[in-house]
Amino acid sequence: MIRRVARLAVTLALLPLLPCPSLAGGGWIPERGHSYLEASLLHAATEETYDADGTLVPYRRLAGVDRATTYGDDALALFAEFGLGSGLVGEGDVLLRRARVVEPATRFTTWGPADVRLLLKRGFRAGALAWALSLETRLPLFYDETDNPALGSGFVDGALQFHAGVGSARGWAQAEMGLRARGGPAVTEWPYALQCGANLGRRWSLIADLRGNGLLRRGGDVDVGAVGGEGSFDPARASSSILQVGPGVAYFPRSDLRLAIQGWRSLEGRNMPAGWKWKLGVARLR
Amino acid sequence: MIRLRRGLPIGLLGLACFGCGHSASPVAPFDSTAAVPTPRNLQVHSDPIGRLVLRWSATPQDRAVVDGWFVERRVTTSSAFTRLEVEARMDTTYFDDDIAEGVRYVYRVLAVTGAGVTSLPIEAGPVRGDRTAPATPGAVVAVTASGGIQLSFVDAGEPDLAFFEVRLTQPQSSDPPEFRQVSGSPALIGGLAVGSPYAFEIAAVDSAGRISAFSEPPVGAIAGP
Repeated sequence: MIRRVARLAVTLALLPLLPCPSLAGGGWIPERGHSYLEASLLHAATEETYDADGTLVPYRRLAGVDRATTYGDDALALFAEFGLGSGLVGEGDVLLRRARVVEPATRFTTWGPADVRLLLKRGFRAGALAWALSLETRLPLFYDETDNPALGSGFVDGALQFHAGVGSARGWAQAEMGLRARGGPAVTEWPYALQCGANLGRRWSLIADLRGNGLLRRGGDVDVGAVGGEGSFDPARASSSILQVGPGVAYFPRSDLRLAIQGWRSLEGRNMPAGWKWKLGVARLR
Repeated sequence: MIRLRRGLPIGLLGLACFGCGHSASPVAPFDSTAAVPTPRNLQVHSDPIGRLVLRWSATPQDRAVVDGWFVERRVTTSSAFTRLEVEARMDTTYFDDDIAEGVRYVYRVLAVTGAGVTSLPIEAGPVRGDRTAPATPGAVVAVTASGGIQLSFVDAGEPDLAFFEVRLTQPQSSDPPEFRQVSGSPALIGGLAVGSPYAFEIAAVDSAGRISAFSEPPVGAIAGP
């Protein structure tokens, strides 16, 4: 815990050194009728995971069975944000996922729509320094959470988050933090994110992004799906934490079209696959 | 062999999902029975409470491929095996408590991968169901003999008797009882303190390890030189 806080503090201390002028912030609320629609491809593949104690160990599906295993997670993410007026914005996204565990003798694949996330955000301050509060829920769709790998926990989650942002024509910085109550046996999380962007002219932006979630307490005996627990490890079902950071670049071929590629490297976590995660997105702004 | 499921009627609003599914597909070369490691060293024996116990082994290399094992059984009067569990078991021991007295069974074990590809089976020789402990030996007699005390007794003649357990105590001593194993009657119990009195009780033990009650009352004799 101390190591995680120290690492987070160092990262936060270094981020102001990055060029972070603002354009929009996490508390930014689009005007009524304005929208941001994004489709993105996500990819992650790893042979390592953080166990329940945070140690980096080989990914294993079955506790106590030592076999070379690769975990892969690919998704098409559809995201939409709409300005509703009166300082309100509605957000939602859904992932069409394909999770895969490959062992020497068997390839386990689960695919389909995963969870849908709905968020209502209320802005309280606009302008160069903006902040907002949001309520979020995450609903499981049609998958069977007992499949391994699962597409989600199978339970409804709810979150309350604080968002803040500062921006100018040269770039932006935004942050968010909150609490997410997870349904089922999983432990309540505190999600956080910090992002800085620098605008290089009118078409290019550089992005530095840090995000993750901590746990209010350890999962303990109720931590289903945990690494080394009874039965099978499944990151979608276990109480998981992660800290990941990475770069990105965005390109605006037109003022209303944004292409972006981002990567995140995990720094630490619990019950969570380790390694790089990549995102390639195209967004339409109105 | 691919296990595939689609259209699960679960999730939000109970709607079916036509775009989702789950599969467990084999990876070459473990997509054929010959490549899946066969269980090793299958042994079957009775335990003291009448169950038949199967034990087999697997190397770490086997476990890197195999998700579990199926246990199958047939009676010797039939050639058809019946699988005893729907789900593959992950440990290498099986206790069969559903056996009939005197019936002879043949067991075999198959390994199975996560994709459902099974190995060739390993088969054990026939074993007889035996849920009854042997009868207590009777007509126990102890007499002084050269070199100790000679015990004689009568057993019930069960075909699976393995040995007899003798419990001997010194009535004038506070030492705990001593146990000796003898193969039959008569038996010379040696290594005793010459001239000391001993009391004897005897029980029969069968090949499954089941033991009868000890004979009573204890019979006594004085150890000879």
